[in-house]
Amino acid sequence: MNQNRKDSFELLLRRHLSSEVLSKGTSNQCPDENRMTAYLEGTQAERFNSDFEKHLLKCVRCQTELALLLKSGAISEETNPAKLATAPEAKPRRSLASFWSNWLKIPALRPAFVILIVSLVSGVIGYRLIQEQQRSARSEQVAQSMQKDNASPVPPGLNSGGLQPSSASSRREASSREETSDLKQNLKGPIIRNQGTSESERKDASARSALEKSKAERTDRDANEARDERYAAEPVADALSESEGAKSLNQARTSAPPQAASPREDSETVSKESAVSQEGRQQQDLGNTTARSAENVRSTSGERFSGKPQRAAVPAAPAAVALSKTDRERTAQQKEQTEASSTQAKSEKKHSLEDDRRETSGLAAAPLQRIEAGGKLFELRGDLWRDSSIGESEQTSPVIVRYPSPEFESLRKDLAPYQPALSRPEDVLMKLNDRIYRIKKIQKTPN
Amino acid sequence: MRKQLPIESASASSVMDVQDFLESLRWQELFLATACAAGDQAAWETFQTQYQSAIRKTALRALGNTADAQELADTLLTDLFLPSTSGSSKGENKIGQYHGMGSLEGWIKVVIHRLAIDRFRIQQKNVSLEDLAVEPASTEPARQTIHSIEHFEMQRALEMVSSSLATALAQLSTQEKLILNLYYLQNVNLKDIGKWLKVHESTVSRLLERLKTQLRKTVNKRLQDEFKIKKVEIRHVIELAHSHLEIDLKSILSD
Repeated sequence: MNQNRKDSFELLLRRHLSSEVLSKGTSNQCPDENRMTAYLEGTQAERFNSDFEKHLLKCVRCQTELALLLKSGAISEETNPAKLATAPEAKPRRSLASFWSNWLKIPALRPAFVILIVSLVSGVIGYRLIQEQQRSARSEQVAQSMQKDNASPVPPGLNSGGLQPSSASSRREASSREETSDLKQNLKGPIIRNQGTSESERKDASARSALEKSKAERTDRDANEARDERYAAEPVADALSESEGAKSLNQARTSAPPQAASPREDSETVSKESAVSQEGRQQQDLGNTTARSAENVRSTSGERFSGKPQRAAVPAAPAAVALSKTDRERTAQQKEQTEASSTQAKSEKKHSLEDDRRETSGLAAAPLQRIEAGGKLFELRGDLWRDSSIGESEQTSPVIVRYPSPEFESLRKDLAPYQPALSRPEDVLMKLNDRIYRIKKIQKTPN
Repeated sequence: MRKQLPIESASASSVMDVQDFLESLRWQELFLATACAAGDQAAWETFQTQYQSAIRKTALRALGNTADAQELADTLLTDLFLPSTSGSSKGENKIGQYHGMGSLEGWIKVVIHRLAIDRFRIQQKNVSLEDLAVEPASTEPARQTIHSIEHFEMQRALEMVSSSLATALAQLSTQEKLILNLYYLQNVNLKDIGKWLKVHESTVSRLLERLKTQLRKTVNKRLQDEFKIKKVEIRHVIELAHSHLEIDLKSILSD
């Protein structure tokens, strides 16, 4: 009975609404498509929407249109349609706090909550404690390793040749460490020896050494390149042999008496040193950059193991720095050359593109010449789109059809596939059902 | 451009309103439409590439029939660019009537639906005329039962309920009334109404339920206060009104 009553009320409501709308009929001043679009997309202000809704209530036509638009899903997800002004009586949302309080009200669950909270807290605390322990253990390990390192400046395995690093990188590091430590010792030598010589002698020696350095650099660079290639082919074996060769050379040099050296000897030693430094650099070149090698000289020198301050590694730096400078200069020159060539190429390309553009600009600016539609090709000739299937002799007496006209409407279905050509403002001459038609458009009146 | 802007809608309002209105316009699409209206070929090509598929899809959705949809889309694609010969916009093509108040795609959809409705109306008109010619309306009076005391009561009940409903509906907002109209008269389903209002269909259902309850309460109250109908009789009055509607419907069908 209640259901019946409900239905009867709904039916009455439906009837009343329809009678209300139908009595108002359609409005003569229906909003145009722009307003309907704006309403559907919600692009306009609230006032506009309410005005539009007032009209919708009065006008059956617009209401039907809106209904059809809604049914066909014309409203996309991106649009912002009319917002619901009056929200229905929604169920009161339960907040998290109220949810928990409701659960807590149950006495049987209280011990479970207590256990849960305790286990949670203890879990968090335990996790933090474990983390701290791990951290402290790690720091202890690091400290122990540091102490070990300090106790043995050079790893014994390296000197004796007993230690064989598994990876190429570690081997390279070990060899460079050896080289740099030897290099440092060699470079220290001349400074000590030069203490007794006079100023002029020292200048001469430095000039000579500079000359020799530059010569050695050139020869070395070539050798480096060759060696790099060789190293690329046999990296591990070469690195080991080189490091051993360099080591023996250094050992021979360091074993020579450090004092009572003449200026010539000094200069010789300096040149030797430079050679050694270059030898060292070759090893460091394994790291591919001079800057990195300088860093290696500093970081892998004996101070790290002997515990001396890093400033003591400075004497080793000038040779490396000088080399890196020249390298940098050369690379800079090469860069400049490549940049210059690339910019030249770019400018040439640009010029050629511009030329092309100039050549094709006429085409781009020119209007569309052809339209393909419905399997026909239309070509624009003056103010006429001409069907290319029409022969030159055929276009003598076309049937003239004006747009819009009843004749055009009768042909509309047949003409439908050719709409791309027909939608252009120019006339269209086309063959249809073995007849030639000239579709004439009316002249557009200026606004 | 100035001609295309519906300035009159914003002229009465403040400068801020005009500024808001101008900011809300889809300038990029408006420029494209204006260029198309001016016969610019590049614009025409852009329009064809961007909107052709949307036009065909919308036509198919509106009509449901592939052949009819194809024809409608082709008609629109032709008519959009060619100057019209009648109406206030004589000499102006359809695309030039786009004002940029919403998206161009949305505007095209509305245009297509209007075209579809017009076509449907023309078809309906033709069919109803044919029907009228074949089956003339029965002139035999079938309302003998209606002219009775019972019918008078029913008529009275319907009047009372209708009046109460009018009062109850007057208390609703415009949007609420529109939602009722769309649901009960236009048979738009909850999902589509929800999509329009950007709410879930269950929210719309709840809203409709609330509106119905509110209306029923107001009707009951008005029947009691205004027409001095007792609370226990209200149900009977509503049923009487309903039965009158049924009789009315039967008589219409018998005609």
